[in-house]
Amino acid sequence: MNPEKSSPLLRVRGLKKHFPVHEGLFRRQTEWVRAVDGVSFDLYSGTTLGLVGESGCGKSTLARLILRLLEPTEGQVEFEGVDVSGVSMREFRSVRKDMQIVFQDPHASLDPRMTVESIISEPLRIFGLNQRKERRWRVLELMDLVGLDPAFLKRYPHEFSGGQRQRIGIARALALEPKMIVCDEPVSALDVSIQSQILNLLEELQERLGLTYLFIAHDLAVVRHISDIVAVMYLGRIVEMATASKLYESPQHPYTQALLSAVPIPDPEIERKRKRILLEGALPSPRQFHPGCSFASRCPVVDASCRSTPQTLREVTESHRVACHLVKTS
Amino acid sequence: MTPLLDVQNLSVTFDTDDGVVQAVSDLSFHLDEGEILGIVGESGSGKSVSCLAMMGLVPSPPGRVQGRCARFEGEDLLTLSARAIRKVRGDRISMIFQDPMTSLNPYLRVSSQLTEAMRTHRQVSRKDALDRAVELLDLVHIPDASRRIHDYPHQFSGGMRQRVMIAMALMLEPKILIADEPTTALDVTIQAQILDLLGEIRQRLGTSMILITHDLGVVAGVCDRVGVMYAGRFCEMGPTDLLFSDPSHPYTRGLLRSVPRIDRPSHATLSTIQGNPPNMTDPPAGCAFHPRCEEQFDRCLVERPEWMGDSGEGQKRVACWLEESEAEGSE
Repeated sequence: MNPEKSSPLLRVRGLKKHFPVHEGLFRRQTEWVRAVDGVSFDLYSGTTLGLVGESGCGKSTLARLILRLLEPTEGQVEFEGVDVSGVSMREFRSVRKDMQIVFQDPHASLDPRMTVESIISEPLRIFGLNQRKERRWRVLELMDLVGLDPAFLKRYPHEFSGGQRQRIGIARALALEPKMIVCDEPVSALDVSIQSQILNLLEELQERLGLTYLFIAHDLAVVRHISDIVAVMYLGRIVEMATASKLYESPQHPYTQALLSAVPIPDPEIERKRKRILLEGALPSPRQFHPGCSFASRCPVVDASCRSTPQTLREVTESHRVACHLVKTS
Repeated sequence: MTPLLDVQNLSVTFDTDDGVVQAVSDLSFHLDEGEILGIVGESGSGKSVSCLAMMGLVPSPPGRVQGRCARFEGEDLLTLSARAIRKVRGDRISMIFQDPMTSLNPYLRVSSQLTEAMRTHRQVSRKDALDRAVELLDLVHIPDASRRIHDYPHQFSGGMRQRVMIAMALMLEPKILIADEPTTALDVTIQAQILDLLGEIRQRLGTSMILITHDLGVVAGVCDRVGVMYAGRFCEMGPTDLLFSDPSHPYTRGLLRSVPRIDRPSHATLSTIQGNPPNMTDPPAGCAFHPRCEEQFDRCLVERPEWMGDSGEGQKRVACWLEESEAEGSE
């Protein structure tokens, strides 16, 4: 990955989504929920960007904005150098072929009344790409690619285990040969022993097909494993972004530090020696407007200026950006 | 020393349209005074059902519970009448569950839910019960407890609701607290707070705990002893340190190898456990893990491994034929 040499596949600038809150007898719009509040990043071809954060931080909303499953309030999304945020839905459809999504819940995201064949071939049918026979061949090829037995062609989702169902979801996402796949918590619903199978499959597919992933998860260990670059979100904003090794080995933002210290490690000896940074309280409401740093209310090292000065991402070392004015630039 | 809780040969089956599901088979374990025992397993391994069965909470039909005994303070939980076990449940043994929202009644104030058990089990005035409830909300670090106690569940955040559940479970000073995936629905920073709280409660009140979870990391941090379940049986059990530093069962080893860790660099291919968990209406013959085991040999296919290893204090026990052949080899 070299930013100078190539331009990014996906370029997101100042993306915002504010949901109106309606309250009272006349359902008047009273407040805004700032689900995504000014997110910018670049995603380069063939790499994986991991997006982590706790529930309610806006990571899933961000994914839906990029795919235009939700309309952004503000901001730009460029895909292959073309600004796609302003185009009509009809025009956007041709772009959507190149960006697909794999969902968290393999039970809810597959139609129980469709066979595996019709599930995987649905995108092909919609984009009118193939004759029935050709479609069948493509489906068989895809099933083979994701490690499903082609003999299961005519079976229904309920006949499969969670891990196999997730493979069906991945095959469907691959059907149109996309350039980018948004993986929204793809392994969170799976058992530990199955989770590793799916993670390996995703990595193998990336290598074989040159895929680009936007990988969203709340499990920090999974994200470290699969990502090249990791972005940490808090209340709708990215607070820290760096290569996976830098972010996990020397986290700079107080929130990232607390988050990482809270992840249990399956080794009792290490667990005993570790120091936890326990955060006070819970996530504040995204309805409130924070003029300064949104993390100020829980930050263990907060100072007077944090609450009033807005924090923006800035580079502190090469390819390591932090939104905290207390972090020194080296 | 006799253990606080001694479960022997517990089995649970469910009659379903597809046949009899053997959820728990011949399970034996004990819990010492003041101990935190972790039970780890994947979904369907029987970890929750075994505890529910012990507490008389498996509906029958379709469930059937059998076993030699589940001894607790001179009584056998398995033979108690429904009425008698209700006196134990919520009083001397209490439980907390994964989802604090569905375990709380949204229509009732937290105060009445907290005091309900105490008013049912003990002859106390409303005032005394309320005082005790405030005391416990304080104990679980809910700020401004005397005011918050009159709130409804939806006015609490997820982590705070789980604290309320823990306070409720502790109202009658139970000897045993069974926590079934208490942090699975919570964010990591909140999970850390709740796990710390459980450790603190054990220290202050001496409560014994059974912590049921699928997360090996959670177990490593808080448990004294861990049992790993697969297909309704323990495959390995022992002191936490020993189990993690020297896992013997291929399933335990596989689990530990297949989880990505935040303290390890990325991108190496993860080791996996091949295949899928067994169908419990028709579990494999011999060792239930053999179809997925890379080290299986002839004997594993036909004969089920018994507990092997020393049963003494601080020892680890394993249900795997490899252990026996190794023991013979070293003699």
